[in-house]
Amino acid sequence: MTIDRRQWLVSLGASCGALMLCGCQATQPTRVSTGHTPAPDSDEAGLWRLMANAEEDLRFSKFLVRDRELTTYLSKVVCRVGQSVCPDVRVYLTRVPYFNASMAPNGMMLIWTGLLLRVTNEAQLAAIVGHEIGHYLERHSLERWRAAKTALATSNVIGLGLGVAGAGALAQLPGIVAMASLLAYTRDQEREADEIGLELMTRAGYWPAAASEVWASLIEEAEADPDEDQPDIFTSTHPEPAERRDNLRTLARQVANPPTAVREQDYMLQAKRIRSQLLDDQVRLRQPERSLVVLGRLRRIEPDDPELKFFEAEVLRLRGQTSDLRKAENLLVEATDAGAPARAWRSLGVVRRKLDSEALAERAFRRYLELAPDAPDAMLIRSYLER
Amino acid sequence: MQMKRNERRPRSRPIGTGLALACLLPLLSGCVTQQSVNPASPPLFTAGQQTVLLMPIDVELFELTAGGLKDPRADWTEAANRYVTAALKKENEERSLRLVSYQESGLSFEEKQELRQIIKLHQAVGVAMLLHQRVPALRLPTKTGVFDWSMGESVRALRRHTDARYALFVYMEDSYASGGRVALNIVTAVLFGAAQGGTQVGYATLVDLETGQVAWFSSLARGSGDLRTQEAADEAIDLLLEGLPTS
Repeated sequence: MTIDRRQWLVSLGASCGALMLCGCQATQPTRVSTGHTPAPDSDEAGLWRLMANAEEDLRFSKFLVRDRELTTYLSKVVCRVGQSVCPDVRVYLTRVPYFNASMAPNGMMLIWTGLLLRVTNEAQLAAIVGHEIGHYLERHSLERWRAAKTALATSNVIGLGLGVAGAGALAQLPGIVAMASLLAYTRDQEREADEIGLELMTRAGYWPAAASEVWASLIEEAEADPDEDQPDIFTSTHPEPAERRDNLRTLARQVANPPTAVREQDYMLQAKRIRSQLLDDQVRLRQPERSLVVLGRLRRIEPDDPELKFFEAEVLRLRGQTSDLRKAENLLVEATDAGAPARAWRSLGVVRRKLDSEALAERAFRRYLELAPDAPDAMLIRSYLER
Repeated sequence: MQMKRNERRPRSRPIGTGLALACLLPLLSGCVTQQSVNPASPPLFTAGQQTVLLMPIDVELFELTAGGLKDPRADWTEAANRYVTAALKKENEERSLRLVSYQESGLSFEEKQELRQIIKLHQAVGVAMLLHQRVPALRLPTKTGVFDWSMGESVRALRRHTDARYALFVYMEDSYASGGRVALNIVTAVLFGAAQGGTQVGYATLVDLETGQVAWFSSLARGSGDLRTQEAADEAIDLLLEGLPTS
């Protein structure tokens, strides 16, 4: 009896497997063409509609960064890299302090502000934009959606099978596995997008080695983080960052007569428009090791920038080890000398108090109040000084 | 089986609390198709006495795949939007609802942003009412007495742009079994004796724009119904607005 059931299940599983394979071949979407609009009765049109709704919400979202000059700049980079795709792609900069960019099937591209803090030139940005356009061109989301539909159909049957076999709780498992597969692009899709991205950025005149630099930076940051556990769900669905870095490096070396444009200054000038907000967001994450890597990278480009010194001091002050406080004090002294924002004086006061230099702390607080008499915390500082 | 119930306190078969939320609504379709509730007697709102601002309708149609995934259908959704709009127009005349349409033209970006927040707020409140009002197992301990829900005074922002005292929000979601789903249903039915095809879920909320108080709430949940033809949409909207207090 049990054997019969198993045989039945096996044959059912096999036929479903076969069905799934056919499905994959039959529904493999082709590369998207310029000005593409899906057939109204297709699953692609359904996805586009949902995305259009999300995009409409996003246009009114408080998380959208609306700095006109910066967003125009980002769109220009997208057009330079995407070329014929340019009119079909719309870029949205959203205020999320982590590294990410994404591409919806309808041409809505999201760039997170955390990404802007982690790339240091236009060529690196172009590599990411090229990668996202790669996903768009190859219609990877549609491919994922179709795979998910097939996977769930199969898992439903497997779930039923397990139910029959009396494994009640386990019956839920295939659904969970199938949902996990919905989460992200496959490793193959990521690799394909990496390759297209590199091709596009090179064609647009950017130095191709910048693409692997992005991954090297992310690896550097993850390695500095003591809380970083491997492997996680990210690395199980994405190719390992090291693998991507190496693959991109190899591909870049194969480019004959590689172009050389990096455009560090152009990029920095634009990113600076909202940089203090981005750094504030980053510091608030309370991931001091990661923040120090990000800040260190920026400070190698602009070693004397008082704002960067201030934020590095903030990270150290909030981590609060004794050696951190000494370093923070030095940085804040330099930053306040070089015209850092008024709040650097307040931080200097706080650091000196923690280091028991009460008289010096008082001087720093007084200077803060002179520069920012109407600051929201001015009352608090005054009452402290009067004690 | 179609049953219409229109009463202050909902009645339905007991439902196990262990079931996932997603399973609850389709289950409800077997008991009470439509249900509408009023917070007060006599009702706060009576049709025809005040103008009502009809908010943008929210209609989504899906094809249910074999795996139970809802595949959005753009063509059906667009057609259903037209049908539901026409159905509401018909209801407006037949029930003398004095509906006026929500207009965004002429508003500044900030004004639009503010008003869209109200629409989003209703999405959250509407779903909460649907779940916690319709499903006895999910009834909130603080909401056991008279129907008492509010969107808060932020809805007053709408009053700056309209003379209407009330706003009507309408949400409809339909899903229909695809070929694959039908096949799987047969397998399921053979093994377990029951299968779930497509469902129709919807709700309508009437909100007092002065106080934010929900003056009337109606919900629809059933395993039948359609929005893919004008006639079916007319039937669904007529059922949804059943029980709207009239003089």
